[in-house]
Amino acid sequence: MLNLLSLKTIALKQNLNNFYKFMFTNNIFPIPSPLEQFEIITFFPIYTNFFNISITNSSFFMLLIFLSTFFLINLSFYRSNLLPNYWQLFFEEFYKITTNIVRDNLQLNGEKFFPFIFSLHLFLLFSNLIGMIPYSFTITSHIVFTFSLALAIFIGINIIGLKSHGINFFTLFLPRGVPLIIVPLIVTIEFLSYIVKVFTLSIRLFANMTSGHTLLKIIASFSWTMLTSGGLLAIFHLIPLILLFGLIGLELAIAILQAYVFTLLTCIYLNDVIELH
Amino acid sequence: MPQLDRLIIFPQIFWFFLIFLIFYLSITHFFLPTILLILKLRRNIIEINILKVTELSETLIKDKSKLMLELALKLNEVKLCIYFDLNYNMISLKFDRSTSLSLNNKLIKNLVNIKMYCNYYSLQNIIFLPNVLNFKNK
Repeated sequence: MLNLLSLKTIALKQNLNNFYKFMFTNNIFPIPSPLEQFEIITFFPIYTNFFNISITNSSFFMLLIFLSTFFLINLSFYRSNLLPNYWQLFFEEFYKITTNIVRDNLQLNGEKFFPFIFSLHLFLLFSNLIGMIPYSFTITSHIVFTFSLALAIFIGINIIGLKSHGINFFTLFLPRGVPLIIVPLIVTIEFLSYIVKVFTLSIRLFANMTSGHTLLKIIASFSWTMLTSGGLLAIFHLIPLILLFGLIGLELAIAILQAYVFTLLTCIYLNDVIELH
Repeated sequence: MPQLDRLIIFPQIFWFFLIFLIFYLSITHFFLPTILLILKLRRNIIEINILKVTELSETLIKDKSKLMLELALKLNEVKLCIYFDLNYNMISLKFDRSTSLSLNNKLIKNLVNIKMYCNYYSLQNIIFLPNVLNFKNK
C-alpha cells in the first residue's frame, strides 16, 4: 500500500502528467460517487441577505432546454409547409399525442387548459431527454423542481375547481349515498388521497430519473474499474458496457414515458375537479 | 443525496418559474397558432379534394352510361344491317359466282402454304448441321 506522503513526494518530484500516469497505472484513480452528477454547482452567484437566486447548473440547463426547444420548433416550422418535413412531422405528431391526452380525459372542457398542458409536456420531455446526454444535468432529478411543479399544478387545480363550482367544490370529498356513520372516515380518506396526489406526482418523476441515472453511473464506473484493473478483466469489461447500452435505451424510454405520465395524471386530476362525482 | 440540500431550493424554484413562464408564453404566442393554421389548412384541402373527386367520379359515371347507351344503339343498327344484307344476298339471284371462286382460290393457296412451310414433320426432316462439320467449303 502506498501512503499519501509517498504520493505527494512523487507529485513534487515529477510533473503532473507523470503523476496522473502513475495513479492510473496503480489503479488509484479516484472514481466519483454515483450521486455526484446531481450536485448543484453555482456558476454565477447572485444573492442578498434574504434570498439566493444565483445561476446554477440547474438554471443553466433550464435555459438551455428553453432555448433548444424554441429554436428547434422555429427551425422545423421555418418554412411551414402543408407537406411537412421530418422535424415538422415530429412536432405535429407530438401535438396530436397531447391533444389526444386532453380530449380523452377532459373532453371539451380541456380546451382552455391545452396550451399549458402542451408546454408542460414539451418542457418535461426535453428536460428528460437532454438529461440523458452524458455529462449533462437532469433538472427533473431534483425533488425541489418536481415538487414545485406539482404543487403549482395542485394550487392551480384547486383554484379552477373553486371558480367553476363555488362551495359545491367540497362535495369532492364526500361521494353521494354514503351512510352517515362512516362520513367522517370517508371524508378523511378522500382528503388524504386528494392531498397525497401532489407527492406521488412529484416523487414518481424524481425517483424514476434519479434511480435511472444512478444505475447508469454505477454500471459505467463498474466497467471503468474493470478496464483499468487490466489483465483478463480488461477484456470482460465489455459485458457491463453492453448492459449499459441496453440500459440507456431503457432510460430513454422511461424519460419519454415519465413526461407522458406526468401530463396524463395532470389531466386526470384536472378532470376530477372539473367534473365532480 | 445532493438533492436534499436546503440551500438549493429557492434558486431552482425561482428560475424554474421564470423560465417556464417565458416558455409557456412563447409557445402559446408563436408556436401553437402556426401549427393550428397548418393542420386546419391541410384538413380543408383534403375536404375540398374529396369533394372534387366525388364530383369527377359522378360525371364520369354519367358519361360512361351515356356512351354505353349510344354504343348499344349503334351496335343494334349494325346488327340489323348485317342480318338484312346477308339474307338479301342469300335469297337474291344476284349472288355473284366469280367472287366466291376467287375466294376459294385464295383459301387453297393458303392451305398449300401452310402445309408446305409450316408443317412440323416436314421441318423435322430437314437436317441442320453445325458449321464445324462443313469440311468442303473452307
